[in-house]
Amino acid sequence: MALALFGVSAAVIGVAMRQSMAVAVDMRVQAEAVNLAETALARLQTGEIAMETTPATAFDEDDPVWTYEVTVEPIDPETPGLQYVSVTVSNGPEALYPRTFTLTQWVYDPAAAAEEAGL
Amino acid sequence: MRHFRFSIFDFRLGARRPALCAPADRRSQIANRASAGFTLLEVMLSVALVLALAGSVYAFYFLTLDARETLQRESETLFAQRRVLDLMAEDVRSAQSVPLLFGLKGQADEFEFMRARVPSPAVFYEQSFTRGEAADELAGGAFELQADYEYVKYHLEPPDPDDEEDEIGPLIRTSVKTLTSDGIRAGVNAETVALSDHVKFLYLEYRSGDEWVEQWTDSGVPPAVRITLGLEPLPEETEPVDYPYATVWREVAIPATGGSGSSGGRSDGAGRGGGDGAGRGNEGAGP
Repeated sequence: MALALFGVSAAVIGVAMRQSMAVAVDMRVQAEAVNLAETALARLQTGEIAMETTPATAFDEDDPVWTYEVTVEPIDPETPGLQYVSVTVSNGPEALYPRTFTLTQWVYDPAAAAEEAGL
Repeated sequence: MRHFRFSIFDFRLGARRPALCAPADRRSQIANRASAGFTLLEVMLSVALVLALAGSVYAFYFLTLDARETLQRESETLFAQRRVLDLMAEDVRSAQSVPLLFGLKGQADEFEFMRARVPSPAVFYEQSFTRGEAADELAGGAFELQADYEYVKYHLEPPDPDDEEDEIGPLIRTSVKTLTSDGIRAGVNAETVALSDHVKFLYLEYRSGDEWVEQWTDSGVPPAVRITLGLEPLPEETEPVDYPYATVWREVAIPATGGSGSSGGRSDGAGRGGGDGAGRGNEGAGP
């Protein structure tokens, strides 16, 4: 009886430990997702990624696990160029630790403003 | 006759059922059992069980302890890296070229730049208070004049040449809020903060046109900076780009790009997305 109790207790604590480790790895994946989302936003601002709505695209050809998806919407018709930009980064449902992270920012795009103004 | 009957009964059911014994016999059996003790086999089995249990508990305890330390180290490392990256990104994002001084000068392992900042509210107080008698009573330099710019430098502390076991690090942030060209050179009023002992590798790249370069000597600021951090020192005779350990990295756009240099201009000419956002939020979704 005592042995059985000990075994069950050890199993329960072992499972809890394993879950804690999984949470630690998940935290690391989450941090990576945040950095990639910030990077995608920076690339949008520098023009490396076109400021337009795009479907899920591989972030890096060498590492196709992570993808980004961009949504660009005008905020106010009376304020041309001011865009609501949303970047969603995901490592796909097949990943060991699937993670999706969305970063949203208002971005002023002078090119879009000039285009809307007909310049 | 009675004894014979009970003998057969004992033989069938074992000596542990003396319930029907006569009181005298029962006392005799109990006395015999008390003096019999344990057999060698029983003792050996007990000792083996106790040892096995103690060993299991010991191993389990240290496994738990090890897991706890690993988790704590992971958590601290992750927190330190995110904190450092966030601070560096915030600084870099507000970098801009300052007339008579410079914008950003950078190598692969360190960089310095000027950034726009809001001075301390203390500098807007009455002069008689901030630089008069009251100011003298306060800590020296607390109300020094401050510009709208700040000089910032990031670098890794080199290892002590006299100590063979000393490793590179920590990551140092130096800032100067009272700006004169002499002041920056002499390090006047410089604040030096060791940000993190966890960071042993710093690799910086600067966006120039359509490519990333390891050096930025232009007087302006680049459109973006890629910051890469690592937990292990760069092995000898290894190029930073071939760093063999895990890294965290982030690209940071600099809205105030423009400056005076040709390589500092935006590559698309039109200047995509100048504004840093108002109304910024994020959300994370688990599986």
